[in-house]
Amino acid sequence: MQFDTRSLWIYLHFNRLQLDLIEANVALDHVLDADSHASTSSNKLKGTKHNAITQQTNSSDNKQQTVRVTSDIPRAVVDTTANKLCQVNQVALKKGIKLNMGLASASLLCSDLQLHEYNPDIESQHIINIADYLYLFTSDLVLAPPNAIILRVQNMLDLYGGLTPYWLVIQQALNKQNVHYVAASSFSVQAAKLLALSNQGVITGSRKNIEKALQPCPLSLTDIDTKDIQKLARIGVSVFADLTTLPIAELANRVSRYSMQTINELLGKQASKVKFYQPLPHYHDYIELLYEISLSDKLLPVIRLCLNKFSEFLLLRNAHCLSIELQFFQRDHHPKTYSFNSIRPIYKTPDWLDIIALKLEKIEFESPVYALSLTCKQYDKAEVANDDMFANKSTHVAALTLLSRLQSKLGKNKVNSLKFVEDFRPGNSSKTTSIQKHHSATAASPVFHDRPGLLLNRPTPLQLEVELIKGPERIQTGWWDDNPINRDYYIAQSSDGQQVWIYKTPEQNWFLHGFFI
Amino acid sequence: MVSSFNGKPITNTTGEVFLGFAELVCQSNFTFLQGGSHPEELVRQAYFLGYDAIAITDECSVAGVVRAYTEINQNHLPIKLIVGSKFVFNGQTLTFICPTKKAYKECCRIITNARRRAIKGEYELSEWDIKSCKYCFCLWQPAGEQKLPENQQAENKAFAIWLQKHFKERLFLVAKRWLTANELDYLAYCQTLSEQLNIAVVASSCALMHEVSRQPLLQCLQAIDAGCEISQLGRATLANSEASLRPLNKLKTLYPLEWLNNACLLAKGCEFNMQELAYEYPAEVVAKNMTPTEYLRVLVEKGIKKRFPEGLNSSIRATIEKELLLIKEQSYEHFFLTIHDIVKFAQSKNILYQGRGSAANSVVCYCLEITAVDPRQISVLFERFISKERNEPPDIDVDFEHERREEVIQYIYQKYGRQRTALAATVVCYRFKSALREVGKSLGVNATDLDFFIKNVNRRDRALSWQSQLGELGIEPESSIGNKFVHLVEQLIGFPRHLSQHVGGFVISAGPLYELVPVENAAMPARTVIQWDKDDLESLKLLKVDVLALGMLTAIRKSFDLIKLHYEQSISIAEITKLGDDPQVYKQICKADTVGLFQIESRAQMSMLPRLKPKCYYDLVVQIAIVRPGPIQGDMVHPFLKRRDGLEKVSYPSEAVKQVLERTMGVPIFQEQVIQLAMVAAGFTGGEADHLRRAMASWKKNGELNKFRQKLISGMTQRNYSEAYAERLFEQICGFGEYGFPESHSASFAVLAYVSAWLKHYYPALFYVGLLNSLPMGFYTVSQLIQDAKRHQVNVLPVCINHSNYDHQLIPSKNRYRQLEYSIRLGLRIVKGLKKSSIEQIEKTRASQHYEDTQALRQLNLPRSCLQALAGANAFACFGKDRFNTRWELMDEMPDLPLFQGVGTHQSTQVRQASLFDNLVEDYASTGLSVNHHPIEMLSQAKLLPKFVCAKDLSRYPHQSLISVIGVVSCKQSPGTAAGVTFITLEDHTGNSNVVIWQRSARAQKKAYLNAKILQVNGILERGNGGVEHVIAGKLIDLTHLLGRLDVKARQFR
Amino acid sequence: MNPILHDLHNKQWVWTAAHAKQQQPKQTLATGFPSLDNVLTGGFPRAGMIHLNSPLGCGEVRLMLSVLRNCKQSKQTQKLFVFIDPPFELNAEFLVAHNIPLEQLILVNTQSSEECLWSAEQCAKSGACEAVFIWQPSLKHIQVKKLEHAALQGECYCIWMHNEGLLSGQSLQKPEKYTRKKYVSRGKKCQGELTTSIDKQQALSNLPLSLSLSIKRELDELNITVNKQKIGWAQKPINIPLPFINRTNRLLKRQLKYSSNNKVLSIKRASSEHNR
Repeated sequence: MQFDTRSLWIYLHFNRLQLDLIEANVALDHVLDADSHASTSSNKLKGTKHNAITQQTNSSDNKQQTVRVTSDIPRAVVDTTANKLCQVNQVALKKGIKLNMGLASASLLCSDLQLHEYNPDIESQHIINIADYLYLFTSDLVLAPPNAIILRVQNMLDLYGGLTPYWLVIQQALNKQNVHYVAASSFSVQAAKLLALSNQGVITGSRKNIEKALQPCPLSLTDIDTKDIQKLARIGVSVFADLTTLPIAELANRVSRYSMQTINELLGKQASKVKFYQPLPHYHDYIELLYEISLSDKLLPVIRLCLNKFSEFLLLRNAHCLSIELQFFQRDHHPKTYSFNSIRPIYKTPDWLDIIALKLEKIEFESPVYALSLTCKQYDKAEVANDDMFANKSTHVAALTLLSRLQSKLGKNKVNSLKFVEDFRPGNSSKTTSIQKHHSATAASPVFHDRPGLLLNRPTPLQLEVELIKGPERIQTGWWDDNPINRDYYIAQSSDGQQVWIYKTPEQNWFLHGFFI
Repeated sequence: MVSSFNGKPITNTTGEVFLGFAELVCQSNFTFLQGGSHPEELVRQAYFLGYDAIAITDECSVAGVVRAYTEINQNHLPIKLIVGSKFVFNGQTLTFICPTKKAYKECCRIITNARRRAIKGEYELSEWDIKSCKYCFCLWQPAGEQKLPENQQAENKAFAIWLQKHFKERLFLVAKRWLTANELDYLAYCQTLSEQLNIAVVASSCALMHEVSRQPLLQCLQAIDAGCEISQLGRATLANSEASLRPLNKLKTLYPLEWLNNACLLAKGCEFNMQELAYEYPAEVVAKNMTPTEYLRVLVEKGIKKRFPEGLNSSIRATIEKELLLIKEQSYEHFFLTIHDIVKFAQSKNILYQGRGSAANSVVCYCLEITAVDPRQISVLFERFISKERNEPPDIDVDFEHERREEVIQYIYQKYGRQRTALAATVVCYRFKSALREVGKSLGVNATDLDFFIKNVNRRDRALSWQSQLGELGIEPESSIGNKFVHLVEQLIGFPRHLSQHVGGFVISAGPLYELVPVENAAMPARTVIQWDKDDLESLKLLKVDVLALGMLTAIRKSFDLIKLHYEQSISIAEITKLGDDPQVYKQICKADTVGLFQIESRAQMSMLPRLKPKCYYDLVVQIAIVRPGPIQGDMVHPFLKRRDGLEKVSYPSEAVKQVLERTMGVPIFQEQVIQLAMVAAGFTGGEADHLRRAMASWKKNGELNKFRQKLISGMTQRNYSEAYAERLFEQICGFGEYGFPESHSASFAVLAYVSAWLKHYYPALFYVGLLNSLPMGFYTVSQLIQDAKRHQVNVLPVCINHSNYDHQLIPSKNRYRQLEYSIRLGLRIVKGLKKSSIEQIEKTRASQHYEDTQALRQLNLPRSCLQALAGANAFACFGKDRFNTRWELMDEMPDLPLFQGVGTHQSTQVRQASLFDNLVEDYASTGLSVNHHPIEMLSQAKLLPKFVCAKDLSRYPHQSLISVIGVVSCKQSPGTAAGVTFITLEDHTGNSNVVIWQRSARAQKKAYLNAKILQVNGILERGNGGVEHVIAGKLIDLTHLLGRLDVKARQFR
Repeated sequence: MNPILHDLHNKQWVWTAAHAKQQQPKQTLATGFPSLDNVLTGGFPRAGMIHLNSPLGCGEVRLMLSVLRNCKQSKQTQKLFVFIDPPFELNAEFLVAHNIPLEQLILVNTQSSEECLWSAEQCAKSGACEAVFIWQPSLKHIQVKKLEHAALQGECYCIWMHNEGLLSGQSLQKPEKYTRKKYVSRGKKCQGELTTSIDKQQALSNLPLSLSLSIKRELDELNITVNKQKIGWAQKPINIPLPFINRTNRLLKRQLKYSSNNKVLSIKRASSEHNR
């Protein structure tokens, strides 16, 4: 076997990442629940997987349920496309649940198994976080989404003085992440990967040990084409050791080019092509004040200073951003952090100042501020974010500026847009939604005429003498979401000329529901 | 113009007097996914509300009408049924209703045309269809209910004028009032239109359901139709429940009186009744210059000479005369002649067939060679021929070889023409699983949850309803969503879903069929089905001929062919039965050595055989009928056995009952007996008994059976039977419901069961070749059949590229005692991934010269996968290389490249040889069986197994001894017939051992129970009467992991 | 032409009368109702604050929306329609039915009257809005002035809905805004209220509004009184037909007095005789 001797690699396989994340969340919820005595988290009964049903059923009696300590709950992640369990926690393993088990047999074995649907996006997101953290300790990282990171060790050995001290540091860093992983080292990426996936994880620089560990690893876990894996299996070649007995030169005529390349990489005859991960640098700035300030409006000039630096930074990179964070350090109290958002991507100081000033008015400090910092976690290249809400250029800047201004003064949830929902129930046909960047144009869904402009949030008993002028329109529907109505609607007019929308219930009670403004 | 109805002039209908109401536009659930009620419910409700008439106008269909008609007839409801159909044409909705028979024929023709133009399930009405409509009334709903822009108004007007031109006074405008948002404006528009064009307006609810309570179900159906959740339907559904049959006083407040009266008057003008539809037989089957009666007589006399060459005894002659008289009285001659004609064709083509059914087991049918059941053997069946007083139509199903039935079908089409022949429909209904799935989807339950529910609900569990089982699985029935879910599923079960083609029921008529019933396209190309199913045809007294396919007939015919080839003996079913009951054959059956036999090969049958110990033909008839869920659920098996073994006294409550039940020891086993009991013991009339029979068949569908309960019990108590006896009988009837098996069918099946047993006994190798070449059929896999063949000392040869054909072959050879012996050479058909055409090519080239190496095969240019598959099956073993090296050679793509073609064998390095274990795995992977190796044998040889007892050695151990067995889990059954018990079959290299696991043990050892592929069972050997051996499981140990160890071991030895 | 003049003209230093006609934007927006345009001397002003005094629910918003439909450019410029603190829930379906594109709609809810006016001012002057709707019981001179100024600056309508007739039930809904509980019972107003309304009229006409209208519904018509406009004089109230899609009670009324002597159903027995 001939390894690409230039480099030693470590493959980190996070084999139950989503499950780890879920359990961490549940644990957090649990702590919060204990604080607030209001259990709103996970649902009851053994059937738990039937979220669709049970969540609806138990929303009312949520409070009576008790949440079990998370570590007791057998839990698994299901790959719904294959209908198999792909991650299983310790408790479940003890109950006989196995990886790759079908859903039905799993639930027969263990009726209180808590199931979650596998979502590779969650994992892919999270390994970026892990990579960002590891980046503090090691320089060459390769992301292998959804659940692996590859480290190039070679160039770190001198820095750390050998593999053992290096691995110790990395291990400590990984432990802080609270996730399970299998790590394996080898002189090729493919081989390291195979070792890690076959659970043969050892961190060693010894070629002999690596080779020995590789022998029983099944080829089915490598990147070789599935078709070729099957072909090889049917000539008795199914583990790494078998591969070494084959005349490799003759193999080239028998498997795909891609498989051949993988095999060569695996045997260390060819180097893998990898793309190293470059974390996006954040912007962070910290300014200590010359004297302490306790009035918020007095802070504005300092903030302007900060912003000027920031906008220069962005200008250099031809970038802009949607959100920044300001942290105010108070003399006797904890620092206060506020984030400021813009609807449209901006970078200029006055634009930010405009938004910040409005919010700052409301902020009161417990004790004088001695320092502040500005952080921007994400910024984008300027040309990327050009599509927005309004196609027309002349008004869209004005409109976006206006919205940012209104939102920062009144609060984000006070400025909304309306959506029309096709539903027979009048109370459901309008929906307030937050303003979105990409508004789909109103679909040409037919609307009913003769619908009032204003609707009472809660209809009130009719106390007005009116004359019926049109009707009835019977609306008797909505049984499926437990919000049924059964009403006969009429348009009516008062002697004042007010037109109102009223309805009669089957019990012959009349209610006022809207005004034809 | 003075108009009149029924001769009476209408003097004044100014709208002051309410004349009554008729619903003229109404869709049942036969407008699939649009109607929310059964036709029966609609007519019942219309009667209840006091309507004068109701039209069932399903969309381009009359499939639901017969149900409505039957409901009215059976209950003598004083309401008129109008036949009609709704169509959507260019966005306009038209409903045609049929005032006369001529109009009905016209409507059927229009539906047929529209249906035949489109693909299955859809239709396409053309302008011509409307224009050519001379008799139907046309009810028009102008388009634009939601939106009425100017151009739509103009279009409507033009369309109205066009319609008026063709329909004249037969055109009416439908006013629908559903209390929806923009409806008043639309109605005002309709009124204006009617005034402008002078078209009368009729009021209608355009009902989609019989009652307001069906609204949720209807919305659920709409969601299923749209393929979304109900909540996503938005406004594309009903705003309320007004699309139902509404009370008269409500209608009076909604519509002007005149519109209501118009509907009533229009209904009065409709006189067509379904009763008028009379069936006319095709004339061709009768010879010229003879009446059907005469011709049938001629044929029967001819048959007598052939069937009874030694002459008739007087009792059989008397029976024949009695039967012929009955046929004449009921004018069924055509029916017998038609079937006779079909079987004659089959005979001429040497296609094996066998008739069954109540009429099939008559001497007349024996003489007409429709059946091979010799009446002398089953003399006891004679009296139960077509019963006149029961008034049920004659029932003859004919089974043909499954591979050749198509020839028979083509013959029928060709003889009677496509216009006069079509298959009956089968109304495919929602059953529990489909209903659960669809309702679940529409309520937004996710698919994996639904799969979970479906997999885990045991429908056979009688103790726990599926509703409660769902509760156990996590759906709280009391919760709001659970309640809806359960309720909707309950309602949806039994709803028709689509029309499919009946397995083989042909309707043949004298004239074009589309004048009788609409014909539409089936899923199969060039097949057409009528819109009615078997029950509907019976209701209208139309006859159908069942042409069915049966795999066992193919197997038997192939065996016969082999006998002819190798033994030069011609043999037929009738000849075998004529030989009389062969004790040797029955001995084998009693030992439950019945793998591969017809009907008596299942695990349940096999465990019953040693207890029932059939010794004659009629015992087999009973055996086949008794091991059905019906009799077992009705608690009839054990009393029968006890009485037969003399452990229980046989007694009859009356002489009449004795007549009926004597042949089955006083225990009702056959469906016919139950019907007869209802008649003799409870005083049912013939017609009532026929209803009972049909209700039994459709019991699950609509719970019809309970209607008969009171009548049956009071009828019996009146005739001095004890109430307990009556109750028990009713329970038994209910048990029969789903699965009841008629004696007439069992009798025919028993013949085939016996013939297959006879073949297996006398010509085992040959029988297996015939059977294996007729797969897929029956219970067992190729592997299991081959194992069984080997146990019968049949030598099995593996597949070989130079010796195997597509089919399995019988190879004669001399054994060491110089006796002729037959082996089975496995055919290439068992190699997975091999196309028949490739095999044919291989055979063709081989005819001139045997293949010498893989290169010779490469030159055939077969698909690459094909050679790989052959190599995997070790078909190249004759070239002297093991399969790994052959495959390695074949993997090389070089010789396939144009430049290197024909260069000769490309020498390549050897790879390692396949070990025994590798070979075993490969055998299973490529052919599903291993001729030479068995995993248990190999594990045992590798000394990986603990001490255990082989299947063949079980008999050496005494009853109740503690033993352990090990085997591959080849079959796992938890039949509903035995609550809480699972049967597991463990296969080792010597045979099968039967393990019984009680639910409690299974639950406690779930892991092994569910997952094990190789299982060790420690338990107690139980030997029941008749020598049935079972191992009652105590401990279950999963040994599957040993296979992996075997692999490792095999590698170490290489 | 005089070369110097020509030169000056090229430099656009000379003002000609022809220029005036070209450049001066049309000062009014036709309402679509000739009689209303007539009293308004040509139509609505192009921008500014408009005061609408009416009982709630007599078609006041629909009148405005039907007028706004005439300023065609809103479709192209995609300017916003802002509704600030409507007294009840705004119904999306109603807006769609009146051709207001929902993606151009902003709904603002505020905590106080001050916030409401601040928001209205921001919107009006932003230049991004077509119209801003506010519902307020009374406004001070200075507030109106600010809004009018903002609206003119942003070329926008600031529409002040001033609803008089509110139902007692509503006070339960938003008590803080409608402090004047003026329960109109069966159309009878008491004397005292009448005088106050005249006083108010007086006060209103002093406000720096671009336009002030009072609207009442009379059967199938709207009765409009112009209280104040910038150009022209106060005029007599006029009536205009209902300006919105009105699908009223035609059938219901007809059905009540439906007489059935129009047409008697006549069909023959559909049979062979018909065939001829």
